[in-house]
Amino acid sequence: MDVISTDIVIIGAGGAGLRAAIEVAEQAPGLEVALLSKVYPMRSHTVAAEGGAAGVIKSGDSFDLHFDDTISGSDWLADQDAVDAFVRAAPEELIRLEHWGCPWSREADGSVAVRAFGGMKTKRTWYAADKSGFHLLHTLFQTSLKYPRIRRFDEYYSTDLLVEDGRCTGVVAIELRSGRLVAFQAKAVILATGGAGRVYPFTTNGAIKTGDGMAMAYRAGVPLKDMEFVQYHPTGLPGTGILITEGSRGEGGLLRNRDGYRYLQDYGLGPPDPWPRNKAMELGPRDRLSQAFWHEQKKGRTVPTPFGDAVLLDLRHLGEQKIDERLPMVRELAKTYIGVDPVHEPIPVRPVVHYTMGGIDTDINAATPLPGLFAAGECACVSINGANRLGSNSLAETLVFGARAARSAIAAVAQSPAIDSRAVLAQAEAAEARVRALFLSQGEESAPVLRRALGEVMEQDVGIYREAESLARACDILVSLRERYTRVRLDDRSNVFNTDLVQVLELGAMLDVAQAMAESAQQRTESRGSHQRLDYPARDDAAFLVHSLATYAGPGGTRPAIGQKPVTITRSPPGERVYGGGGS
Amino acid sequence: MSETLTLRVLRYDPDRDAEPYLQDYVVPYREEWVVLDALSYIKEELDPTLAYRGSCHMALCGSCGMMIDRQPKLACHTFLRDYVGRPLLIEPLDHFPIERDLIVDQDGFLEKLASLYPYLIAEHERTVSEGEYRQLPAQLAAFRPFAQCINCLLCYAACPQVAINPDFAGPAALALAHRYNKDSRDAGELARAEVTDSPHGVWDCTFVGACSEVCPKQVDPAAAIQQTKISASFRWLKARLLPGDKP
Amino acid sequence: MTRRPYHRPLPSNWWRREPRLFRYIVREGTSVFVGLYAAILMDGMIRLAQGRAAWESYLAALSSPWGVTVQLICLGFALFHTVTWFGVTPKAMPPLLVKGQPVPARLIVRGHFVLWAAVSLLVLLILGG
Repeated sequence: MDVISTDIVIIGAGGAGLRAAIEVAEQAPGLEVALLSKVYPMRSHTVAAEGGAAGVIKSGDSFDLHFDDTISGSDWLADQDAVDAFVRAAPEELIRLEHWGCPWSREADGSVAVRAFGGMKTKRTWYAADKSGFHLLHTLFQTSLKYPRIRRFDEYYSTDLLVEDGRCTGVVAIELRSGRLVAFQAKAVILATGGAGRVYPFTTNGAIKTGDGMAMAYRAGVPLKDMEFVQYHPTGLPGTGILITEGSRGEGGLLRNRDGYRYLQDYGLGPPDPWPRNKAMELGPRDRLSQAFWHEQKKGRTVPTPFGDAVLLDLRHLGEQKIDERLPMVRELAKTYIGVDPVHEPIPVRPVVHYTMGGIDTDINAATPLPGLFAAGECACVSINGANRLGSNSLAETLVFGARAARSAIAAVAQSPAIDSRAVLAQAEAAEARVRALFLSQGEESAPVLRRALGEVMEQDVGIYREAESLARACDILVSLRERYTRVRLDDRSNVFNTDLVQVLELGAMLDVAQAMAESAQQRTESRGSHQRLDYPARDDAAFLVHSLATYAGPGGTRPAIGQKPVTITRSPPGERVYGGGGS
Repeated sequence: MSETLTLRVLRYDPDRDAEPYLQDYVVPYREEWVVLDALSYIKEELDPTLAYRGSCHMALCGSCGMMIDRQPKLACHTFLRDYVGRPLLIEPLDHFPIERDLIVDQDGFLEKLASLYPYLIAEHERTVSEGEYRQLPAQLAAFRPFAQCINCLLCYAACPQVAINPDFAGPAALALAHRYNKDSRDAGELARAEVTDSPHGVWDCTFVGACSEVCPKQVDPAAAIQQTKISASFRWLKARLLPGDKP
Repeated sequence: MTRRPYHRPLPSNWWRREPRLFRYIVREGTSVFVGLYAAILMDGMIRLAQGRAAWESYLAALSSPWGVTVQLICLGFALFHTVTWFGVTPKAMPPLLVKGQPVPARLIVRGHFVLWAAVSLLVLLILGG
């Protein structure tokens, strides 16, 4: 098996991965970066983010205000030192991106424009029309082409981290176009592999978001933090789950139930007027809006569609000109995928799984507890998002923590001992044997069947509202699914571009990650942010102002151990999350 | 009303097949399904060995470009309902080497793109503390359409010159070069001219115009290339009339 | 290595199996006829320089059934060239802005036809009259 020796390996070439690669190239030009991605970089899911990236630049805004909005949005579960560092670094990163050519939308005077976004008291969301993630990703990718020291390995699917003497020493990956396995040896590895929305059947997430990096770190002994916190985006298209940006509400869009009533006022987000008003009504935080939908559905006030119940996102009053200027993609998506023109009709929308607040346990410098291993972006949990993420914080997060992970990795390279190549090769060959076993086995379990069963249990039992009985059932089912997965069948035994192999391996990652989600949810007997329990409806700071930590117990029919880790509180003691009229 | 639809898909596994062949699959007809949904159905229910690319399902990631009924299209943006009544031919993108089934090698495009310095080349280094460049909405509008390219490569599949002249930089790469040339913050047009003004740059283009017709994002690469031809011509003239002038 | 990328060569009928590409080849083909007509005109200038007799016989050749047919064919292709060329000019020029708003493509195309008609009228009046 080939062993490629390099300085830093970055797994994942989305916003965080590319930003990290560029940071290494600029700050430590003598180092070589191997940038691995299971897809060509422009296909990374950062591309689908629409609304924008938050950063304080306008007068009338301040780091303290961004901090406060983020902490209360997180239901006080975010680590305050990290959030402080984040809000201070965000504007710089966004300006840097602008210098790299990102086509941020502008005010009439040529300065960068910002718009309102959910849960934020002040306008601070930089946006590039309604394709901010697309422009951010392409700007980063194109900028990365400046640096020959960034060696790209496109369409390499990483399977296992290599760990020697308690340090991460590299990764094994499958070169998809040939099917051969390659070992990468490095003194620092950065995971930037994104979230795991695909464990749910209805999600805004693309097919590639299967939590591979989370699972790799998890299996290498790194805990997954706060996995029970899964964000539902309030406005996805029914059926496909296609994202309709929060920006549509930032521009003034309204949510109505089947009676045309702006129902959010019944859930502590009102009064409905004056409108628009930040942090109120349709600009409330995502968890509250998704939970309001659930209640409306229970009351029978949602609109039935061929793809399930929905509420109505009304943009008609914005007028055709404003829609074409600020929300052109929203119009195109609604027309193409549900045949609705938002200029003339309201768009049916419903909450869909969107973002994984939880992830690989990292600290304020993007370091995991495993020396030599770092993580950034959605796959990581610092935590700056806590129990609920505010929209437009995650694009900024990829930049801030991508850069931080790079700086930490550069330091690790300087300080780490030499790597024993023979040990690396031995481990890599063991990893290869596990992959090859799939080609030789006579498994009887069908991967699509297991995947469907996974989606069903997550949707039904680990959804917007949870409770003890259904969580217990979910945990049992997941143990059984993981046990069945040890006998999964690989149907395609070819070498070149074996996408069945990729999907089977992705399924393994999803099962591990989903189990961490369900088990962590079961242990948290309180309601906080996006983790809402019918049996424990109140927030319990005395017992649960802590992060959950899920520790891997092995393949097959095992369960992870769920521990706890304190939250860093500096200057914002836990308070009540107040939105609506009271929030101003 | 048909209950099913036949997809006639090109298959190729280099380990087993000397050359590609066509295989028929019968899929359920659903009004709201796009071709990508039908391919997922085939992979899950009928034939797990079918290989194709796809991710975002909303025409943004550019993964799922393929020939559908002999037209370059995004599989996530092409509805089955427009093709009832006859077998639907699904093949990998034209003009690219076929790796496996519907998957083509896109490395050639990435090399061509990289050769065009597709990043902002500023006149002077600008520090973060100096803040953002001022760019008026009209200046943004000047290059914005060309910045919408999702690198789906439908334009390369549509362009006969890409097939006839394999070294041709191609529509998307040249459109992205133009995007930066027209960005008020950029000063790299002359550096890019090294490739744009070369025989395999804009001059391999004979304005067939198919690229702009198939582009799902209305980037209009044909316009980008013709406009670049004008600038290239002026640069050529200037170099000959004022040879002493340093660019 | 098990990779064996397969190259499908461009079929020789590439321009016949796709209406858009067929129209393109016809458009390109018009250059032959425009060139032919330019040769005819060039011939006329040479004949004119050779004196009245040469000129008269040139005109007679142009008026013959063959001559008229050839000219009509050339006219047809030249018109097709003009119409298709005008149709793509908006793409070939930098965006035209009037008061900050881009001029719609169809106006640019129409403008070309108007100008063409005016110039043609002028030429007919000056030379025909």
